[in-house]
Amino acid sequence: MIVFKNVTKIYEPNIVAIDRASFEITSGEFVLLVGRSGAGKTTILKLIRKEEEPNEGFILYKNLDYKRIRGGAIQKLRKKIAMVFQDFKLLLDRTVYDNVKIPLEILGYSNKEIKRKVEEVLRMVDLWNHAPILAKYLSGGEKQKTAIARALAVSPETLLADEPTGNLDPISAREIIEILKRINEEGITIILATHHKDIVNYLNKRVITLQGGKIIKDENPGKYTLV
Amino acid sequence: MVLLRIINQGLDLFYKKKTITIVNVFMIFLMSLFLFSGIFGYYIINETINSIKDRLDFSIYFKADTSKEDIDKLKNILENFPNVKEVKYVTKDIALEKFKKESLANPTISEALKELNKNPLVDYLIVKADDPNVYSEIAKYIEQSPYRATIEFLTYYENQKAIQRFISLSNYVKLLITVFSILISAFVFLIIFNLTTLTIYSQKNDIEVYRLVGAPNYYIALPFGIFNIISAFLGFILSEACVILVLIRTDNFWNKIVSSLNPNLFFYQNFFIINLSIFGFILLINIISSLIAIQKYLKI
Repeated sequence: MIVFKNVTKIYEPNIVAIDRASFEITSGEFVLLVGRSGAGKTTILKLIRKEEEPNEGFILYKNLDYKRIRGGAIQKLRKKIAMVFQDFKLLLDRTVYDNVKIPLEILGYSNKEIKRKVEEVLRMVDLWNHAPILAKYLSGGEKQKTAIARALAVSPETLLADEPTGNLDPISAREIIEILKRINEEGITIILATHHKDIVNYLNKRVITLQGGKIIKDENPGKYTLV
Repeated sequence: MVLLRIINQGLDLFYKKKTITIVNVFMIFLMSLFLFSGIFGYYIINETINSIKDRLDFSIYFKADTSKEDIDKLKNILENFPNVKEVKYVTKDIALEKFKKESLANPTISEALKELNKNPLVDYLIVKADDPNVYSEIAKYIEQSPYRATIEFLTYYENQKAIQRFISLSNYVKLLITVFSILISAFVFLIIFNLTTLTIYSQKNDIEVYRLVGAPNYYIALPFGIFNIISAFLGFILSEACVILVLIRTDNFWNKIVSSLNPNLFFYQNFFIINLSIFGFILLINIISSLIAIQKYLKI
């Protein structure tokens, strides 16, 4: 479903973030991107969401060449590929409910549909009872759950998670991982960027290892070795 | 549904960003006041110029033996000059009557007039023009025409200095108004541009989140436009209220300066055109500067 072929991304002045990366991710897969800070994990996620353009190589999403996706089609692509971040990126002066409903409002859902959908995704992440609380009063784990609920609200095909447990305590981190597993079991492709070996070992999924922008390993479940 | 939500977002900005809203409304209030002052300034200057123009005239005094036909012919020619408002023929009899009336208060002149057997005055034409520049053209024409022989003298040469001074003064005032208008436009443009930039900056986090969840460009940019339109409207209404108040308070003041001055009447007679042009202008400047600020600082 997602194909990277010899993709290179160079930032100004001459920083090679991704160096001739090639891989394929099929629908419904759970893939971990691992590597140290600056290895290129976030750049790959940004390239998948077309927030960055590669300097060389090509990227396909369901056989659709990214070079041909322009204007409004980028928004449509981003609706299919949702993303959560280490720093949550929530509007802290709004309630949990209001944060989750943002993408639905943008897509023109009716208020009735929004209410149904928001309740559904908040229940999925066990946060329905927090719906009227302002985001600034939530714990880190709850904030991340809210961010995941917001990402799920538009029924994405793929969820990109950039260090979603980076700011969380181990218990909250485990909760988030469990939620991601559940989401994946419902058929959504998950690409999780992390540098926590505990998570990698616990999940026992396909691992793509990056170092200095290069893919140095692409291993199937059970074969991960720490670089 | 989406449009309604965009409008709501604009209203949200208006309520939530209180400091920026107050500054925005206040600046637009000041700008509207400037523009209203500009229009009233233009009106007052224009009325004063017209009043001075009305007082300026140009007289042609004929020799005693000039026939009425010749004077009528010249009158017809002068009436066809562009920008000539009126050419009045004053016969020597009318001139004498007028002079007598004006001299009633002066017994010496009145006595002297009674002793005269013959009318010492001559026929003359009074030329009034919309544009004082035309007086020099008329003088030039007369100097070269066959009518010159029938003319005793022209007042143009006596008034020439005053006329030239008046022409240069009115040109200077017009230039000032133009420069003033351009400066105000630039000022309005820069202020709104900076305020929009400030609003965008204060919403950086929200914009990032909206971009992240896949909001299209218009969904992110339009609320700023709506915020600016609401601010522009409110600032404009406040300045309008101030202008009306000042007009009511100064109703009896202006005609003491120039008798034909009546800003109150001018305002109500041109109510829609003045308000529409000021609000339209603010809105136009607002839209252009917001668009540039959004394009520049809202890279989506």
